[in-house]
Amino acid sequence: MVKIIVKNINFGEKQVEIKTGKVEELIKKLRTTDDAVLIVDENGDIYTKDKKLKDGSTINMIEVFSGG
Amino acid sequence: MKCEACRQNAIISSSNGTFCVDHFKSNFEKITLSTIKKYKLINDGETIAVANSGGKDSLSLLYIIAKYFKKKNSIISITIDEGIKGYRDKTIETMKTYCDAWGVTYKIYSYGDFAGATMDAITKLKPGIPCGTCGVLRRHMLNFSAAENRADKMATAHNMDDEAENVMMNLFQNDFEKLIRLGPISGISQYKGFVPRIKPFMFISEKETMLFSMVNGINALHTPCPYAGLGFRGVISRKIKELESEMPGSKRYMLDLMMELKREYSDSYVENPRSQLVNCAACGAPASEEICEACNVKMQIKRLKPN
Repeated sequence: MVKIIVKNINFGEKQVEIKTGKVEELIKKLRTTDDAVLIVDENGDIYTKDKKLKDGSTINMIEVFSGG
Repeated sequence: MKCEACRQNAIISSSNGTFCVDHFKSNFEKITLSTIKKYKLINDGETIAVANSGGKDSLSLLYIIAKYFKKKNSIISITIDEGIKGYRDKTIETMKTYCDAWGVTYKIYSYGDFAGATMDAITKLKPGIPCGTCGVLRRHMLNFSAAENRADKMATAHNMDDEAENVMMNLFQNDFEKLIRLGPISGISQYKGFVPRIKPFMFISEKETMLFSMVNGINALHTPCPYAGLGFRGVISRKIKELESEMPGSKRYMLDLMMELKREYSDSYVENPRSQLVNCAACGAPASEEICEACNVKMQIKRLKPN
């Protein structure tokens, strides 16, 4: 299992375990969709859904929303 | 995923393509400029008011309009201050910073001045979902402010998601006339005092707009309005994002269908509109009834307010 720390403005921070480490799997596990979020690591690198995350990585899940 | 232009690592894959940072930025601007050109949204010499909340979408729009149209057009930034504490006050500060940096004049209009109450106060006076009331006031004030500043067009940062939501909402409400009034330039009627609204981001997704602001270092607040997501639109918005993830391109197909219907039927609605515009008896703004919706809201608030 791959453990990922996910930070998000709504739920704060939580650890999520996924099998493959793929962003796509993480998004599904968090019950959201690729079109609704941006996945960004602590260096500001942006991840597409096919990318693999390393065990122990920390990422920010930024929700896409309308307006401002 | 690799960028389709240079094979570097991609940061986005959407119905507009799969791109690295640099090619995403250039493609984003290219789509915006081609929408403006194709639909003649901005013509040389026109005064363009940009609806600017100080959020990621409108700042991205102002960035592009200032970058490409400042030489041949007069640009003014218009902000509507709904009076949402801890939210709008922050984005207004951001708006001022970027307008100053990009050399754009800004003006702020508030619900407090127009309706006699802030949005925070209105939510206390009128229980229920506030988005409808807020939308009525905002649309009215945007048009009023654009007209007051003699703008030829009012540019808004409505994107592909917003427009797909509008298509779905009008379908579910069986409102064909409103459906075909959508599109990159709003309205099917010319009327004195009504400033046409233009949507240069109509063929760009919400995710792309957010990403564009991030990769350009536009340091906007990445949090939604605290009242957002409560209404019908919130439900539709979530469903559309699910649909797009399951069937990539579905938002774009919805827009293409709407544009096709618009081409086919808008002429007959121009000749025979369901309702004729008149001038509001209270404020003089274009309205479909004797008293416009915004003045009705204003009167309702006045009645509800404690003496």
